[in-house]
Amino acid sequence: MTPRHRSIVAWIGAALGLAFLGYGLLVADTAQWRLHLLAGLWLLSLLPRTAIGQRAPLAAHGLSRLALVFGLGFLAVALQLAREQISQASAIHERAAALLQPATAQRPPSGGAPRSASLSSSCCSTESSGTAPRLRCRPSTSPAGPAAR
Amino acid sequence: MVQALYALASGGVTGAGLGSGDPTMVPESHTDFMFTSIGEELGFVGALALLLCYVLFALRGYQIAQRARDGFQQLLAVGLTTAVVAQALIITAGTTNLIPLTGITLPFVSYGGSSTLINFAMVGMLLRISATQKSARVL
Repeated sequence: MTPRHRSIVAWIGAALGLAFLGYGLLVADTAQWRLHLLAGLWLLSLLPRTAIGQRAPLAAHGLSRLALVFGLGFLAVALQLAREQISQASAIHERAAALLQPATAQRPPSGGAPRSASLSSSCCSTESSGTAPRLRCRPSTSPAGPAAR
Repeated sequence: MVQALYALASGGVTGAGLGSGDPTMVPESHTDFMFTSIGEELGFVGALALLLCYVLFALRGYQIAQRARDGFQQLLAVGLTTAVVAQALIITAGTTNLIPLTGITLPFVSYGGSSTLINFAMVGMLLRISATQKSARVL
């Protein structure tokens, strides 16, 4: 294959890759999106790979390809971000909210009755002034607590 | 991970604004999920700007490696650049659910004294290699 033919194939591949990625951003299914992402990035990489093979000096081939790998990786992250924050943001938001709802429903209401049974001994101290010892608790500093992590 | 995706999706294009994110929603927002917090507060634009900074770092690092005078300096520059950039790529891809998440810090951004110290030491070595090239060009 002549260099001219390679360039033509690379340009066609880049156009197809852009089309794949653009269409993939609109696909709701995650597995299909990943397939589009992988195929699109591979097709898109044909153009810089051809350019590296034809123009870059032989000693710089390895470094240029390494830079290309990281560039494509960051492009994949940027596209994933674009999908999660722009094109499929509402769908992801709804799905995540539905998954989080049972967890938040099980959480006890804040500012309610004192929960002496669930408190650990580290946050409580007994005060013996008076006839009966009283339980004195200090509130936790983080509202979510370690369970959120 | 679901909480992080929820927070990222609420960020949108321009985000909720600096300091307006929900710290209880994003778990480990100061270390592992720092990128999610940035995406939530600064939106797609802010997260993309951070990614561009890492791409710029990679390009400059490999440029320094390409111009290095001997093999040792070249390998050192490639290794230092790749260590920082690969770490950034792994954690950003992990927090966006592109690859499985692993607990590493986002270079120069996440909380952690030793991590930041080592990252700046790496940058210092890269700058030293770059300065050697410049002084050789002047002579």
